[in-house]
Amino acid sequence: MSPVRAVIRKEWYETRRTPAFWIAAALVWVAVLGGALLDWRAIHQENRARAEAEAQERAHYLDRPQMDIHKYAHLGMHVFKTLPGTAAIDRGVDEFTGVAIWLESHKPYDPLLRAADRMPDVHRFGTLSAALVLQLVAPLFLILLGHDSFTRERERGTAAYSHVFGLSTREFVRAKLCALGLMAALLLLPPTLAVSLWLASTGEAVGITLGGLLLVYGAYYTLWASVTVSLSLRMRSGMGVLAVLLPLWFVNGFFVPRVIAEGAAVIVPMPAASHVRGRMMEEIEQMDARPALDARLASLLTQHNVTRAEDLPFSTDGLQYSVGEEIANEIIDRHRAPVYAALRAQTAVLQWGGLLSPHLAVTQLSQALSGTDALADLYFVRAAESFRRQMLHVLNQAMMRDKRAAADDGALSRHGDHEVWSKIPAFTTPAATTVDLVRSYAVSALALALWTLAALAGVFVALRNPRLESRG
Amino acid sequence: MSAWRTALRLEWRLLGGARLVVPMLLVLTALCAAAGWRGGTWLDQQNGAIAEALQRDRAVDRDLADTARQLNRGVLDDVPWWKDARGAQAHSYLIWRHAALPPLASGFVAAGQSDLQPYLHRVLPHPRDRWAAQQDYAHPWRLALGRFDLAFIVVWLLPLLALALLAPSLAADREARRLGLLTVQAGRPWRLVRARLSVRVGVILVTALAALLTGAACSGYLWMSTQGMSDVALQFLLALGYLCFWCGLTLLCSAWAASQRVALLLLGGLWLCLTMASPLVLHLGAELRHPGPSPLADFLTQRELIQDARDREMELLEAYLRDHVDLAANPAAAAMLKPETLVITQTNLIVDREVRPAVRAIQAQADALAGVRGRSVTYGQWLAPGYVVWKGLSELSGTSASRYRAFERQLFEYHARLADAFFPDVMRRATLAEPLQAPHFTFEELDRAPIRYRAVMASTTLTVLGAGFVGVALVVLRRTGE
Repeated sequence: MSPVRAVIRKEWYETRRTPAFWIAAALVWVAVLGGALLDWRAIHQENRARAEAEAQERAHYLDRPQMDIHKYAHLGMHVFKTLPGTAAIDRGVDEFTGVAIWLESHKPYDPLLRAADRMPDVHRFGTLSAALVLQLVAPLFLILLGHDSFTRERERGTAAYSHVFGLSTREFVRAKLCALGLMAALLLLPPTLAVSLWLASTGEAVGITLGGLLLVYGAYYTLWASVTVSLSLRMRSGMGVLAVLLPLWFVNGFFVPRVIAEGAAVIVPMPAASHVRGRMMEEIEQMDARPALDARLASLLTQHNVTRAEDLPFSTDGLQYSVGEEIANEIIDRHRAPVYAALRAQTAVLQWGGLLSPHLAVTQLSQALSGTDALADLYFVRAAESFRRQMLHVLNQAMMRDKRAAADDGALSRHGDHEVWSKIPAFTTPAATTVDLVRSYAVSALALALWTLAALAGVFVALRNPRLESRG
Repeated sequence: MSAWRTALRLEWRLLGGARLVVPMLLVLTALCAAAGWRGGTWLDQQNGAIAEALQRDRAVDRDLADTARQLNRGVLDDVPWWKDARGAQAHSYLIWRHAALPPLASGFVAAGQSDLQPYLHRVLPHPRDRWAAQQDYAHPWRLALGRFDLAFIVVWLLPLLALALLAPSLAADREARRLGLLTVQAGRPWRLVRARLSVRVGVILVTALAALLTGAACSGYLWMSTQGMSDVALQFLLALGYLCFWCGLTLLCSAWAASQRVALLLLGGLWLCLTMASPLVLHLGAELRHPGPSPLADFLTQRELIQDARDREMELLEAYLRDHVDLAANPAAAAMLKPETLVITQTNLIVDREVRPAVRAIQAQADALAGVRGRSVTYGQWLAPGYVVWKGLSELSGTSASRYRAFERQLFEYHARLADAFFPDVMRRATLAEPLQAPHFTFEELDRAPIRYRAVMASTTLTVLGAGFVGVALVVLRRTGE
């Protein structure tokens, strides 16, 4: 047996005799599997309920009797967001974003039905999830497992024996790192693989997501393992390593993310909702579409070579609503633009914050890959607004239909029926493409890569002058 | 110099003296100042939004009255019905009544649920899904992480201060094999612990209090009202009680542990359990013990009711007019029943009126479920002292879930009153005078006495627990010695 393997075997022998390791392993397995199972069940139920709600809304929408098309546009409908199955690994910010949007003529509405609104207040302390374990608890176990990997040898005076077996310091460190990696893998791989296989068996296309997640978490654990080993190589005692690493873990996982999120709100303040919505609704309700309508009519009269609106081959009823919608859309875009800009800018600040806290980078990448990040919500909101406009365009066009056809039908030109309603397509929740993800989260990926490289460089620096011999 | 003073001086030196305490005080004070300032800014934002909204309410009333006068004089050209300020139907879209939950002066301490729940609604007589204002804009990440407020510092950071300063005290003595000697020199374990506690706990409490006071001063809301000051004083009392709890627990672990490392690991684990893991377990337990319908299920039920009423809207309008003979005589009301009339406001109001009792029942059920879950969490809350303190601080700040639920209930009733006031006017196409007299919303504040009582009890319990831990630590010291 090679000396490196002998060291790994010895580490494993020592670790497996430690009850704390098995307790930790059991906790991690149960927490990852339990968290993923609970989240998967919740997502499954939610998605089913959302699909049911969507179907119900659409059925009502299509089944409406013949009526005034504009009234129909005001009766509106809800569209719902669906979650990908990978959200079972990381629920991200999903509970803090709305899942439905009400679509109506003239007016935009914000997302409704945030899950967090109805949860007990203790929910603000967090929820048990696979992501929580992978992002916070797993690094803590890595610290506890690895903090004394070299200090223990030094304190016992056994490091020198490694040379007797012909092991160089570099090989000794490599063996220790391998042992730590194996133990971390034993802690994390079984539940993660189980969750992956289970998600794959449900028919979800999870290949890219799981590959990405494996890469991200692999880099994150390499970072923590490297920092732990470097400190263990350089510091006098295991106590000293813990005294440095535990505060680091706290600052990285709890303190800096909250401070950066607060800092993002200071650097890029979000406009007050009451102000934005108040002004926007006020402008929409007070808007005067008449000048634009007159201009449009004049152009149409010239185009059709007639002098009166009544002589146009189509009804002008829909035209006034169409022009009204265009003006309202301009008002909506103008008022919502600063909100979207602030949201994007705050996301950018949070991403740059990854340079201060790798936890921030990992969390954002994990959420993005799972499809539960803040930008996924933004996609949904924008897609819903675009769908609203498309829906109103179809309805307003229907109102502008041929007068003769309307007269043949014996209906009022403003009235529509199932034939008109069914022209409106079904809404689908958009998903970010891989290109979108790369473009949106390049900074987080860069931050994580830099941290990991810096930590690996730290191991090499520590290797140059390791403190393996006992000084006492 | 007395032995007592010598012990104090020695302890101060062991602690690192001013070299450690001053930077620590500065860092903590800076953090508290930042948190207090952010809390104050958040209160400013809420107060500003409420003031602006109420000002806009008044401006809308004034503008509508002006426009109506001009229309009556024939100054304005013909306007479409939805802008005709003479008609209540137009008012049902144009007139807004803002309903606000005013923040309390002590609100800067804990953001609580204030970032999640809406504090301002732009209420229309129309059904609720037609209102524009719901929650304030916030990055969902910030909501998920929570605010950087004084409550965060109290619940998560202050225990670490106690851990850092107290954990090494007795454990280090034992590790260095001087604990027996020190106990003999002190005469009794209590004297040794007293010397240790006097300096270290004194430093912890004074540092924390100074930092929290600075934070409160930086918010700009500390001197706003006597009531606010008394609430802030209670919040500080709660924070100090929590610190006493952690000091006692740390001393106990330090007295029991064989080495500093064991003490540190044990306390780290306890910190993790009491501030992070146990709230998670409480939440999970409440969700699993009392699983309720999701918000979406309630929503679906409500939509079914609305759609059902929507299918019968003309029948309902007819029935309403039959029941209100005075309205039925009005030609405007009769005209609404013709198929070519574009009736939106009336049908919205009649549908809302029809489904209101059922919606109220659904909301009462959801409220009851929230209450049961809340009680379930409350029964086990002492497993998570961090949660007890956070909840106490939130309640005293007026940002607890119960205050927002009370706001929701009052809002629901207010909306019903507003819609009922409008409905006959809309049917009559009445003139301006009546709609302008529609009621305004005022939040009826919850009784603060039980909240304050709970805070005092929580603080006392935590202090007593802390003292109990010190007592147990003395017993442990007496039994284990070196």
